[in-house]
This record gives sequence, structure tokens and C-alpha cells, in this order.
Amino acid sequence: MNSLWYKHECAVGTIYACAIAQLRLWLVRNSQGWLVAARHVTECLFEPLHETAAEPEGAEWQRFITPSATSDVQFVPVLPDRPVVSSPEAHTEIAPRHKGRFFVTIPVWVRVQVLVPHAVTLCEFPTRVMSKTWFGHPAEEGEIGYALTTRARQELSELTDVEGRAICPLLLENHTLEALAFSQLLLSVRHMSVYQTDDGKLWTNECRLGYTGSFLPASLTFGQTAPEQAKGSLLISGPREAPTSGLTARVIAKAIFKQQF
Amino acid sequence: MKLDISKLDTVLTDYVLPFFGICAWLIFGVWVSSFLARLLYNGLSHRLGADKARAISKGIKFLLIVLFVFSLIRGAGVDITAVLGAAGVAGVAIGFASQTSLSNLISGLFLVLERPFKIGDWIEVDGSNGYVHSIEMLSTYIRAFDNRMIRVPNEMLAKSKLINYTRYPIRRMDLDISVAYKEDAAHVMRIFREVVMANPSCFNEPEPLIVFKGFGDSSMDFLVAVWVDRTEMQATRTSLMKDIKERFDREGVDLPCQRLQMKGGADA
Repeated sequence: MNSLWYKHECAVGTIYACAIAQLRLWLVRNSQGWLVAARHVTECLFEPLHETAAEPEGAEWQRFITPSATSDVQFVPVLPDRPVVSSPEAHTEIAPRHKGRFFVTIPVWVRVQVLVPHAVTLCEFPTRVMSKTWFGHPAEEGEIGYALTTRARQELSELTDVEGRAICPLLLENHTLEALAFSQLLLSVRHMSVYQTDDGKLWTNECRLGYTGSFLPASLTFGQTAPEQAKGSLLISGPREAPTSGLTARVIAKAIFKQQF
Repeated sequence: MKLDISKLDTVLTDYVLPFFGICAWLIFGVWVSSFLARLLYNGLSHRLGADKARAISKGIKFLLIVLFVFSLIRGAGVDITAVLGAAGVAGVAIGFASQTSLSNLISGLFLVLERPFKIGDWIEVDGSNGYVHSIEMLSTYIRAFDNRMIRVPNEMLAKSKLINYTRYPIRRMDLDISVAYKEDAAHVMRIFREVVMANPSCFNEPEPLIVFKGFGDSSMDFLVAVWVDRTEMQATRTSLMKDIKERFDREGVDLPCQRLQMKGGADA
């Protein structure tokens, strides 16, 4: 798993393949650049980049023209291009003026970069196919995001399927005088970075949400460095969008909108 | 025949040169008004939207041209009040004659203020279906899907029922699917649910709706309603229908065919 995220030297004319979760990726370097093909399957597998004689099945080549001197390609884990929606493992209530810590695993995307020597991004692919979902009321303010299939857990040890996913430490603070029944949460992952620890696990910076009631949006802040659970980790990729002050988030405290027939 | 130079000089000085001067001033006035209107549109369109910015910039352009004309009239030594008085009378006459245009103009203003749609939205009004291309002072132009340009008077837009298909980012897509009577309804509904859950374009929330609608003449009728990104409706419809058909074929679920029972002879 570690070796997936390092740079690889590729010879001209040779087909290379790798598997990252549900993503199957093929690469060929030619005299004018690179050819990339990708598709998704249902089985999860992790295989580092290796030479193969087989042409990609069910995938079409995309051509990228780059400086011909480059022979190195690198796969960089980044977070998805849309927010993700997470639910706790069980019905959860946070007491008034209290906070709860959760851990959410987020499937990463793979950014294919060539080093010329500065990094040039060719393309990006999700490592897992995630269903889209709507967070909010259909006729009011809301956002399209990806629905996470894994649940938000309270203990790190409860996280089982972490390969190809970034662990996001989440602190949910209830600033109100009433218990917060936490049912769903929208995480703006575009403001988060990805770190890697020595054991190969991927982490994001800590996300802190301050809930101040159903009429006001929750405050949203991000840690500036790697979370305390991943001290000494290396920054692998920065946020898609730099976080600014005054960010807000949405927490649906009660039942999600149910459509009526 | 001798040419009278002094008369030619008088004609040039009194008529020709002033005429060219007036034309030049008018052309200059129209050019300046257009330039300023364009600047205003570019500056306002990001903040207010293309339709509002266009209405404001056209109004300003019209006002500037009127000011240029008034300054020309004043420069020519004509009494403005008399001109305005005559214009007032003419205005009343023109008003009666152009009620429809005025109605369209006022309806256009209300449309811009109320914003039931904006440029780029997909709307349907009075049987016309397409994308809003532009909102002008008297009418709105809709580009139909087959690239026809449809001009709809603003008055009609203000008076008619209008459907905006792209007002919200997500929409519910309803699929009416029937199966043969011999099929197991619970099994069919399970197939629908599994196909929908396996399609990443179908939103998890709001939850899909699968309803056994009732008994048709020759079929059992179901509704499969899923929420999708409005930009992916057609592609999702195609992929869902294809997946459902494939599952039906794989599991031997029959689609309905019309049955007609005929009785003859003594039983009829």
C-alpha cells in the first residue's frame, strides 16, 4: 500500500497497470507524453504499478501531451471533488455544552502526476464508486455530495476498512442547551489535506464543527497540521480549496426530509 | 449659366455643414451610449445576473441617446419646453396605439425583478420548450432543443403558466414500469430497489420511492421514483432502464402484453 503513493519510473512503450480499491488504472509512456486508461470494478484490490502485457479491458485510452524528458509518474491521494455525507453508526445524541469525537474514513481519489521536474497533473479518478446524495431540503438550500458507505465511529480501533481511505478526525461540539441528536453530517473535504503516517495510513487534518442551533449554520474550522493521532506524518497533498475564516457547515439534527407520494 | 458662389457658400454654411454636424454628433452620441452600456453590462452581469444587467444597460443606453437628442435640439436653438409639450401629446397618442408594446415592456420589467427564470434555464411556456437565450425589453427568446429560436412576448410570459425545469439543482425522475400479471410483486420491487441502489447517479437522499401503483388492463403497474442531479437526468434514465431490463431478462421477469379474451357461440 505504501508503494502506491511513491513515484515510479516508466519506460517508453511499456504498458503499466495498477489496482487501487475499485479502480483499475493503465499507463503507457510514449515519445510525446502519456496514455492513461481507467475503469471501475466491483472488487477491491490493491496492487502497485507493474508492467503488464495486457491491454486495458473496457477502458479507453486518454492521451496527454507533456514534455518528453519526463519518465516519472506519481500517484497522489487527494480527497473527493464534492463534500461527503456521513452518518454515525447508531443513533447518537451529544449532551448540551458537550462534544463528541468521531472518525470518518473517506475514499480518496488518485491524482496521476508526471514530474517534469515540477508536477503536472494529468487526470484524477475516484478509487471507489460512491453514490451521490443530497444534503438538505430538495427545494431549499442544500448541496450534492457523496454518500459514505462506512459509518462515523467513535473509536479508532473500530475502523476496519482503511486501505485507500483517509481517516478524518471529527470533533462535533454542541454549544446549545439542548441535546444534539446527530443524524447526518456534510463534510467539506475540499478544504482538507492528506497526510501519510509511516505505517502507510492516510489521514486528513482535524475537522471541528460547532453546532449553535437549528436556525444558525454550524461553525467549521480545520486543523492547520496533521491531527494528533497522526503526529509526525508527512503532508501528501494540500486542499483543493484553501480554507478561509468564517466557514459554516450544515448539520441536520432531526429527521431528513421524507418525500410524500 | 453662372454659378453664384455666395449662394453656394450660404447653402453650405446654413444647411450642409450643420446637417453633417448633427449626424456626426448623433453618431458620436450613439457610439458613446453603446460603449458605456457595454461597460455597465460587463460590470453588473456578474453581480446581478445577465438578464438584470442587460435590462439596466439598455435602459441607460436609451436614456443617454435621449439626452444627446435633447442637447442637439437645444443646440439648434429650439425651445425644449415646446418640444416636450408636443412630445407629451404625441406620447398619449403613441401610448394608445402601442398598448401591447407597453404591456410587454412593463411585463419584461416585472420578469426581471421577480426572476421566475434566468438566462440558461430550461422553461416551458404555452407549449414552447427550451433554454432561455435572452430576456429583452419586449420579449424573451427561447432556444428550442432543435435549435429553433422562439420569441415569446413578455406579456404572455407574465400571464401564462410557466414551468422552470432547472430552478433546483436536483429533480425527481419518475419511471412508470409495468410487468406481467404472473410476476411476484415483492420480487419485482426488490429488483427495482437493488438496481436503484447500485446506480451511483441515483441519490441516497432523498430516498428512492418504489410504489405498487395498481392493476392495469394487462399488467401490474409500478412507480420507480429517484432523485438525480438535474444535469444527469437523461443519462440516468437510460442507464436505469437498461439495468432494469437486464435484470428482468436475467431473472425471467416478463413485461406485459395485451391480452384479449374472446368468448363465442352459446357462451357469448
